[in-house]
Amino acid sequence: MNEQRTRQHLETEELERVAMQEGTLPAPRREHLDGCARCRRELASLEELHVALSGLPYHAPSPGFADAVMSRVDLAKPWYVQLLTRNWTPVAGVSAGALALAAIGFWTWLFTRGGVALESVLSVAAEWARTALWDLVVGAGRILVDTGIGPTAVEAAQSLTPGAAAAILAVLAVLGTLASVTVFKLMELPVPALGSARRS
Amino acid sequence: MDYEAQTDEELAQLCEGGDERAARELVSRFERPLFSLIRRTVRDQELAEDLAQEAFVRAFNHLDSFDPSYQFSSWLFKIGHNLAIDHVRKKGLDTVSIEGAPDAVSQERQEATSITLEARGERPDEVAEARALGDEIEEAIGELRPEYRTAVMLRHIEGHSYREIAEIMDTPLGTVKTYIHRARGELQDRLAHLRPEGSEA
Ligand SMILES: [Zn+2]
Repeated sequence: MNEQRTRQHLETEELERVAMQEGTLPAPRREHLDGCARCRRELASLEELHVALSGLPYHAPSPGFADAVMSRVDLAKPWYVQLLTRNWTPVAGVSAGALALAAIGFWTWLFTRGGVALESVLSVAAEWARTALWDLVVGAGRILVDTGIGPTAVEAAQSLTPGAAAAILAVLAVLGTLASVTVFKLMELPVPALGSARRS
Repeated sequence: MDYEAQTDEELAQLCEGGDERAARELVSRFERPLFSLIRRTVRDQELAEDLAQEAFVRAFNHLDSFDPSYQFSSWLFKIGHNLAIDHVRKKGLDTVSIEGAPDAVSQERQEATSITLEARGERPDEVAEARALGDEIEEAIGELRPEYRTAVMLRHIEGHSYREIAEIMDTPLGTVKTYIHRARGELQDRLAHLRPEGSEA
């Protein structure tokens, strides 16, 4: 048996194993290779070809390749990731519509049942609005100071063309006027005393 | 997580859970091998880029049909090979490719060769010589039948086993062996003139 294996020439797979360094030959086969000029010649030729082919450099796709792939990939995400990344616009639209309908319904019900005075409800709302508005103004100011957006805004303003600056000032003026009018209107409404919201 | 330390198959499973960074890692591992395989099959830079992109997209979007007991690379190459060979068959490029290798000495390939070699610190004349040799080999590969070309590249450049190549090419094992045997024979004939005089005892 071993005698037979020592005499036979090497199979292609055996030659490949040696040429491509994928493993070793059993002793009898190794012995044959060492003593057989024909097998050694075949091995040398295969090694040569393998070195030439495996040494070829890869072709490279263009630099934006990975981004192009990723922009077209839609990986199946787990439910919590889907929840965060899905498009909420339609849901938000429907919810806002439903809320508006509910609010209109509530107000209609309030005024048609006659139990509550319109002014008292409005004054509660006005009080909330005043507090929220004040918090908003103070908070925004603090953010501007803390983050250094103030100075950045000044720099940005300096790079504006006179026309653009005038346009922005005009928009700010209109917005400011509207805001002031709203605040003053809210101030005119009476602050409610709890419990007085019912018509006597 | 250290994505670079993960195996291809682990990354594929992370992708299936929606992990985009795992997908990017797989792209960075296989963009060159896959692109090279396809480019050498279709022999057109732009087309190869489109097909390689398509292969990655199909692989990632159909991860549910990937069996993790297989190699990810085999699966990806199978998708890429199918796309490329479909294209070659549709265009009847099998016959055209025999006429010559118009892109074998293309600019970007020469650059790729020189970058690799210069990075290894070789002398300019050695670089030029290796580049010329690379072009000769590239041209010889280009003259093979597409099936031979794919099989011999998967064996010698990618180091896949015969079984894996049979899987990738969806071809019986015996046929793959024949392809590779013939491809090597043709390549050895075409490259014989590169051998130094007298070395062929
Ligand atoms: Zn022998």
